[in-house]
Amino acid sequence: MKYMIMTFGDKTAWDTLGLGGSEAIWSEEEVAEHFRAMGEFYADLAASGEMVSGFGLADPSHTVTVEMRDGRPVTSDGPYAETKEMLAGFGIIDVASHDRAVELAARFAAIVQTRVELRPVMNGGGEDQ
Amino acid sequence: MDIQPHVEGLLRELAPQTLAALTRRYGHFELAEDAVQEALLAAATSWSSGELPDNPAGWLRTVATRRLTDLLRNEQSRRRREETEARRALPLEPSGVPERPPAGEVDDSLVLLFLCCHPAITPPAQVALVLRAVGGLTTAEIARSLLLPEATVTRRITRAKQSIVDAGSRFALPDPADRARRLDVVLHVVYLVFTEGHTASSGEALVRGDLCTEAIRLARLVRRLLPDEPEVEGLLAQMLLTDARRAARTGPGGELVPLAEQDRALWDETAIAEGIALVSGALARHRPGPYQLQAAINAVHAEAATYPDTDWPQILALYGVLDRLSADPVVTLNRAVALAQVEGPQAGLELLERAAADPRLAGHHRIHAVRAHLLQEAGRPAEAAEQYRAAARATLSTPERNYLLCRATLPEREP
Repeated sequence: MKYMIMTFGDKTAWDTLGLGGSEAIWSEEEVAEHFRAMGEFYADLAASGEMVSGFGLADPSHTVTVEMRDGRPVTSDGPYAETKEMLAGFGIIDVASHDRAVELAARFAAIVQTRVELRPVMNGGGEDQ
Repeated sequence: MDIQPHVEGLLRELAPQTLAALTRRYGHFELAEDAVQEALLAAATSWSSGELPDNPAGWLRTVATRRLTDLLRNEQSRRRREETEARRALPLEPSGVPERPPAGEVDDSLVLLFLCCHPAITPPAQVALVLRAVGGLTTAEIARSLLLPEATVTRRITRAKQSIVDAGSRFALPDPADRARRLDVVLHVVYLVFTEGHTASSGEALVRGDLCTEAIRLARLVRRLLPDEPEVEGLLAQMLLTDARRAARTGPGGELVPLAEQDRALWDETAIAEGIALVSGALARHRPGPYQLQAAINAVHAEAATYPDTDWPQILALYGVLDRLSADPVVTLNRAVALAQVEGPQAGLELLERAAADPRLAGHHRIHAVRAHLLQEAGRPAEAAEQYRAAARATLSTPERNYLLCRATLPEREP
């Protein structure tokens, strides 16, 4: 069964790693350690066959909203991050149980040092995956 | 700040690649352009004083992306304060499957070139924007090249970028029909970059080779995209044949050496051979155009072993066709020179006055210079000297002014 683990952060989350609008706040070693731990986590999941996909997202300032207005698609920049937390990355895992998903989400949270959310992924018909 | 030449060359090469990569990935051409400029400045400073990074392209892209993110954040918080929203309507019909991302970065330079030659932008602004976005020149360098105050160049570039945004232009090559339509503008801008480098309408040096080289590089890019366009071949040939004479065009003191007195051994044979082959191939397509004809005229000059060997009737015939095709007073002026060679100075002077009557050439130093030359040929040295002095007053180029003043004194010494 598939779950999505989502990580969140305010804009300082991107600056921390140098992926925002400034050089990394963390030291080079800390950044390298972060990516090493992340890579190890993904490699473990790939080895156990529990990895479906996972990506980090670019800084929220690059978000574009597309909506229908009077029957026409219209784009606008944003929503803007301000101080509230934005989706920062996600991983989709394929695991044997909810308990295992929570276990992996906990490991994810320890690496990214932020709150994570976990939700079951459904297929087109709404059945559990 | 002292920028080392190898750093400058590298930055110029990486600038359009970085801008193209950012625009393709994140959109926001106008902000991406600012971000790349800031990243270039940072690179020029830190690379000149220390070691180059292992991956300069990656370094530049990372720094430029950070700058773009920062610019976006600033713009968005300003907009939040103003509580206005930038909404852009999308076309109802999707544009179809876009072109595949190109294999090399080179093709992205071409997308940038077409984007900067957007019809919504005025030609002077197109030149400035192409030099900065595609040529990788700083605003200060462009200002120096075009003899404009830096603030004017900045304004032109800013307005040009805003026009692109307002026109809702996408980062993609125009479709084939638009491509052909916009080609005239692209070629014109590329040639303006070249002539700016070659004739150097201003400044201490007669030839700014970097602008010539850049224009030739751009023309090669365009030809790769549109290999069957004879005018593209014609323009490339015209620039190669003209640039082939670069070394012979200036004397040891930086002074101008006219075609008649150039040491032809200094001409670049490889460039001439390529230019002649290109223009021959272009003319064989039987779709003549101004660039092909100019290149053909230059090819006739290149084929003459000495100046007196020049096939002037052939050149005159080519100028005749060109004059009918282009309605450009400068062409009429050049035709007058060729006519003087074939039928004598008096015939040349008569034709010259037709070009001189064109308001577009009013006060241009070339009119005086050519008139001076023909008067001298006609055995009227006093009038010639007066025209040389008038030409010297009108030109902004120091070597050209020195040359003209030198000429002004010559006829008086001759019997």
